[in-house]
Amino acid sequence: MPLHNRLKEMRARINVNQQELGSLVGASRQTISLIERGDYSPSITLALKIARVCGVSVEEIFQYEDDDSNNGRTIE
Amino acid sequence: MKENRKKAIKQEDKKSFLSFLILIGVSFLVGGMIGFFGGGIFSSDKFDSEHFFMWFRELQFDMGIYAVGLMLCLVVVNLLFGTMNYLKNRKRFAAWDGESEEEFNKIDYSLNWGIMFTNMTLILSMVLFGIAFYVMGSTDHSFTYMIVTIVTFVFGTFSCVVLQKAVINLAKEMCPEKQGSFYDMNFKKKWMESCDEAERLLIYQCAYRSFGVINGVCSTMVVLLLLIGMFLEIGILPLITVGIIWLILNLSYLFEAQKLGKYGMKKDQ
Repeated sequence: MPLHNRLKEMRARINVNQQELGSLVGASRQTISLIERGDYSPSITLALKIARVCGVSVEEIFQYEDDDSNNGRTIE
Repeated sequence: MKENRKKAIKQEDKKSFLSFLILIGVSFLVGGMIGFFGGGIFSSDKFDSEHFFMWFRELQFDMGIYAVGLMLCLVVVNLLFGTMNYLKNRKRFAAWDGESEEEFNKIDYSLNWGIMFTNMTLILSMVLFGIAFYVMGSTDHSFTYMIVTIVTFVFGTFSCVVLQKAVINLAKEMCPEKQGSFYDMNFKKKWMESCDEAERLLIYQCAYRSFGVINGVCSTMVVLLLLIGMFLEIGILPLITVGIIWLILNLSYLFEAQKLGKYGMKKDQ
């Protein structure tokens, strides 16, 4: 999966556990755990909520790396 | 662009067409051979059809007799296993530090096995109850047999319901965001509403997998019943039953897909 995240680091920064972060963003503890492990990519809504709670931008938590199929192409 | 897409589709079809043809051919051949030779065996003078059909009727009768015993064993095993599983996991959850993901997943996994076994017991109990009723009037001790059957079934259903409720309530303690009382008629709806996006995706993936499996099972059952119906007096009811289930499964899926495509995904599901 090309989406990497620093959620665990951000969560430690604001000093909350997975259950607490889940309650703040309307997700379950298991989902937070899945996101941190990289086993689940959150929706835009959830990613924005997480970023807001952590007090940072979405890009500071989630980074998308191009895989081979895109070859780094963009629309011009 | 459209022509290129058409070409790509045709090429994709071409790749798989041969294996598809082979599968159809083999299916026809096997089905034809079973029908031909089976029909030959059952209609030949050497085959004692009267004794065979009598044996088949006796087999059903025996199954009805043993159904009660089997139901009782199933209920007892479920009660013992389910209770031990629940109590063990309740203890583990009480000792959980609130952080260890591995321990939480182990408890969750173990509880899922328990609920799977309980659900299986509930379904099988209903089927065995029906089978037992099939021979109810034919036994020597009909009244005793009937009482034992009914008591076993009621006790089994009650124990399954109690176990399900206990496990669901424990799951709600483990996951505080979960809503819905087990006794509520709208339990499924409320539980689903309290699931987040990842949990709903998991449910949808499981449902789609089930859809595929049931489709396969129904098509296989129709073929089997067609073949069995050639040799045994099973009537048309089994074939109609499977056909109705298969039809409803596909129509409900397609209608829901049409509705969602037209009006968009439901926010609460």
